[in-house]
Amino acid sequence: VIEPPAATEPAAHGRQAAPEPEGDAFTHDLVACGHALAGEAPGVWGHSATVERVIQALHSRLVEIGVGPSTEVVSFPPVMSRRTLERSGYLEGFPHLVGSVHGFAGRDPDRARLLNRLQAGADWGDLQVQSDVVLVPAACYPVYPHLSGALPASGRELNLFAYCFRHEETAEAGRLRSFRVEEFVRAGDAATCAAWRDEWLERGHAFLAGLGLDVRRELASDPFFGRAGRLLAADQRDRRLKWELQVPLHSETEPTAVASFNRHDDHFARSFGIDLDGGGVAHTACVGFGVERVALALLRAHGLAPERWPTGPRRELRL
Amino acid sequence: VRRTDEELAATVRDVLRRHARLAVDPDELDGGADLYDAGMTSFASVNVMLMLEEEVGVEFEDRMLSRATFQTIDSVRDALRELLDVAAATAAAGARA
Repeated sequence: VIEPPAATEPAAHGRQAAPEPEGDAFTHDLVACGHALAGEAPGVWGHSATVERVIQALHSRLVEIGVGPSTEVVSFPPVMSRRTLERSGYLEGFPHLVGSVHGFAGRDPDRARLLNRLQAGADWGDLQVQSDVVLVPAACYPVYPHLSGALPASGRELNLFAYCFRHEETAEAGRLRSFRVEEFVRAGDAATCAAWRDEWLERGHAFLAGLGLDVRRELASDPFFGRAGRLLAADQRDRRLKWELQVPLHSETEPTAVASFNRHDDHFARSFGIDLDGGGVAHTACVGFGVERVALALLRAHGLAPERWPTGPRRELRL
Repeated sequence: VRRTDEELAATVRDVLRRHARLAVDPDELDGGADLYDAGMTSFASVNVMLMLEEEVGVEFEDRMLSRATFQTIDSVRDALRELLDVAAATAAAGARA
């Protein structure tokens, strides 16, 4: 939540002062050299052409690695149907992370109220009405309604590159609220999805290690909300549903997750009526690489100028 | 009044019937039958947990928030029994003090 500027406080030299970037030494370095552009909202960053070039290189390389002859490459906007999100169970697990899109639905008198509030620096959220779309919380969510019905005998595999949004606050350059994920989704029988996830974990580990990153593999759980969330997280760990690959980003001792490898069992398939060829509920799995985080981890590991990186990662990414 | 184990198990079955979305009626399940095998999802187990807390008036301790606690009717009942006994002992100690 951003505090509105106090109405009585004059802005320096008639313009808004640039926000003071917070966070660790690496974040400061990124800001100082112009790679990270801090906005007024924490966790919402722009970045330089150099960073974007690394991100696009990661995207291209992951597509080369992961897209096979039977992979369907699809694309969705950063917003999705609210109804789809409601059906997915996301609100049961992560009510605190949802980015819900609202719009003004008032008449002329309400417009005057809105402008008065803005002038006073007061809240105006109650003059907004929730719309039928939400921000995409994880890249795979818009995919599932399209998988409804009976799958082909070999199941389906999809790839997409998508913006995701998590409503979480932080000052670290790597913990973004809006970020892109190179995502792969598999739907099929239980054994197929489990094997696919495990293969991707090996493949992802080899890819990141090949870029010269110090990769750690951790059994993980999602940031489920509240006390009930502890039960969901414990259950997720007990069943070894989620693995993460972590690399040093803001700290050597507490590495940051840059990729996750997830089995959903029949959670999404039940919600969206995804069935096996021979009958019965399918399973799904997904794999996501947080490309901004990987790009920043590479800059931390090899230096802020990719043209001076070691040849290994440069060749791998054709930079 | 101390609730009997039978009464607690009946409460568990009642909450399961309403919130666990099981494939069978909980009355048809043994106390030791695996509720996840009977169709309870992890999301449904959260509803069961929250509704039991409301019905019985206790709060599961953090260490109890695991798959093992909600695995069977007996394991849920035992957790509730423990919480109620601790609450009763605490209340008695408070009354003496």
